[in-house]
Amino acid sequence: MNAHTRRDITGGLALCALALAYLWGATLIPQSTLSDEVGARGLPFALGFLLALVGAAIAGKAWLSRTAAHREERGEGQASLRRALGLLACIALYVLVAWLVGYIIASAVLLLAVSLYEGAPLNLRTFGVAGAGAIVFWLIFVKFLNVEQPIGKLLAGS
Amino acid sequence: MEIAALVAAMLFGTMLVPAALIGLVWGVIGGAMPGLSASVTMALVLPFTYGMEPMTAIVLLASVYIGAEYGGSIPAILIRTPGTNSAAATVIDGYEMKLQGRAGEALGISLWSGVVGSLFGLIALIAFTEPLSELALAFKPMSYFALGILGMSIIASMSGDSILKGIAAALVGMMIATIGIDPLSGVNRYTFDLPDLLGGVKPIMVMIGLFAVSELLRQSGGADLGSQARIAVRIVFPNFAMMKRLAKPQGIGCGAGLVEGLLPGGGGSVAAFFSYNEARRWSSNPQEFGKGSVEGVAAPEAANNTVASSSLIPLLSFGIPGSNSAAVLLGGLLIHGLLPGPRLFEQNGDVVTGLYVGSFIATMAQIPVGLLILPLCMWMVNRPRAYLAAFVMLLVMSGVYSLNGSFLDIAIVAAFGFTGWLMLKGGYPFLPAVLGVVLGPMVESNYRRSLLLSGDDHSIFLEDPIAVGFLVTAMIFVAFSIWRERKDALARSTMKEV
Repeated sequence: MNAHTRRDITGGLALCALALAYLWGATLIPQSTLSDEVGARGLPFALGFLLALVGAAIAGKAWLSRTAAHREERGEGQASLRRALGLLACIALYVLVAWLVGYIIASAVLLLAVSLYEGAPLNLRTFGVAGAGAIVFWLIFVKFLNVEQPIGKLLAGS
Repeated sequence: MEIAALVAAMLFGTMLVPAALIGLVWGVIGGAMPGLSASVTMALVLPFTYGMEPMTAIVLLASVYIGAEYGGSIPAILIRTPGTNSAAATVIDGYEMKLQGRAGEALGISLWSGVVGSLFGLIALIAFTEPLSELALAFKPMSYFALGILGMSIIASMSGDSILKGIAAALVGMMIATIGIDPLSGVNRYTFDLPDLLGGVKPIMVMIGLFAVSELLRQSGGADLGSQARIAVRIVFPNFAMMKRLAKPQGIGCGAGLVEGLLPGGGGSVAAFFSYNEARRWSSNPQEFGKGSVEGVAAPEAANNTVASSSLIPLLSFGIPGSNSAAVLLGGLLIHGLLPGPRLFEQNGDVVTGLYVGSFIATMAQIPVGLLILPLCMWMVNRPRAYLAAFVMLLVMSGVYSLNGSFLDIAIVAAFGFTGWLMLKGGYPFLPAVLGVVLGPMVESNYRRSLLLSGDDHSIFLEDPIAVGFLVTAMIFVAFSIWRERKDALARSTMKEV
């Protein structure tokens, strides 16, 4: 079975699982006395069943058209997944720092973390870009546009 | 002669010109910020209009709207992040052109198409305000349901190699749209007792996650610093031959934008996607779509810029805002004691004339303002990839947080980013999912409203001529798409055999 076929089978089954979870969620939607004949559950049930059918069809079609095994490039796929998860971890770090100490420091941390993660050298220039970038963003969003940004739990009272 | 004197007095004796230019620049900047929609950009300047003359205030707000609709295409082309909902369709070919080193050409086409769309919308606004508004009033829930189905019918031709995967993506998009308070019964659906989810998941969050964050995740660990090809920092404005080629997709975009502007709720997204699909259908080079087609940039840009003017038609005539942005403009009118409707034309005709003149100035000023701002934007995207990725990430995070001031929104966008990354790996198209999120609520609520009206009798959809027209057109579109896909598959297999 080649990588493409296996991806389609996995994807199809994942869609079926998502559909089942969604259908289970639909059973938890409360009934209202104001409800019409279709009701708040009507569309979710229809969508859940349809997605389960489509997911099964994608997996089934891939299974029927499976071909002989090919050399897999599994290592490459896992490396790509690790890179993606690393970048998501940078977002989590930003949220944590912003929640604690606010926008400007969190911005500098995010700029520094992502730059380094993406291969920028660990030198003064990178630190300078992160610091200056954070100040520019703060000026644009907070001072110029007057858009709400995180204040930080530790700084909120000060 | 009298009108010419009035216009001259407005141009030289009032703050109309500065208001139009400042509004336009502000709108372009706001539209270019992911997460700041046109309506939010307008709302940000609303407090500053309190002390202004009514005409200056309305011109400022309308110019912001025009600028924001154009500005949304800049990040869509340069960093695969639609600045506004309606710029999502521009991402498809605009970003492809950027990857091919043709960002300057894409931005030039988007600028030109924006001007054409805005001008067309303005002419329609002046000429057809009253008669066209009557058409909007003829729309019933059945018509809106059928319009949503017509929009969904595009999915068949936007699904790439697998219609099944396109349908799956659309269903997931519609599922996302069910999160929040049910519009008819008021009960919570999939909110997990989180107050932040009561209002649902905004389409812009889905788009930013799927388009921008997934792209950052995909590119992560790519080319090293300095090895990335630099793109030309020169805007390539279309020449006469190119303008001639773009006329057809722009015409399609203008038509779609005019219709959507008249109808409440769409905000330009439906027209942009619809015109993209129709431009491909009627193009003599349909194979170029999705691979950097100039027509694929022109059609949606003309459409969403037409909506910026045409959505003012029902607003000025009947006080019905066709979009969130039009609603902000309505707020601006009311702040200054101006009541939309026939009496607005009788009692405050100068304000209406000023709005037309100011919108015209803002439309024409798009070219010089765009030419000044775009090189700066292109310089920014030519920075080393590691720094660029970091700045795009921070821009996305800042824009997303500004939507509701909630960290949950950032988590949602990150989750959609990862979902987008998985979809890329599995060969699932994004656009059907986006259409599902945008059109899902329209289809569901109007379907249920129609059944409430008819006492659960489905024949009501066949009694409304507008609905019947849309449904028949949708069926023709789907049949045509399936026929063309089969024809293409047959051609491919024949080529292989040869």
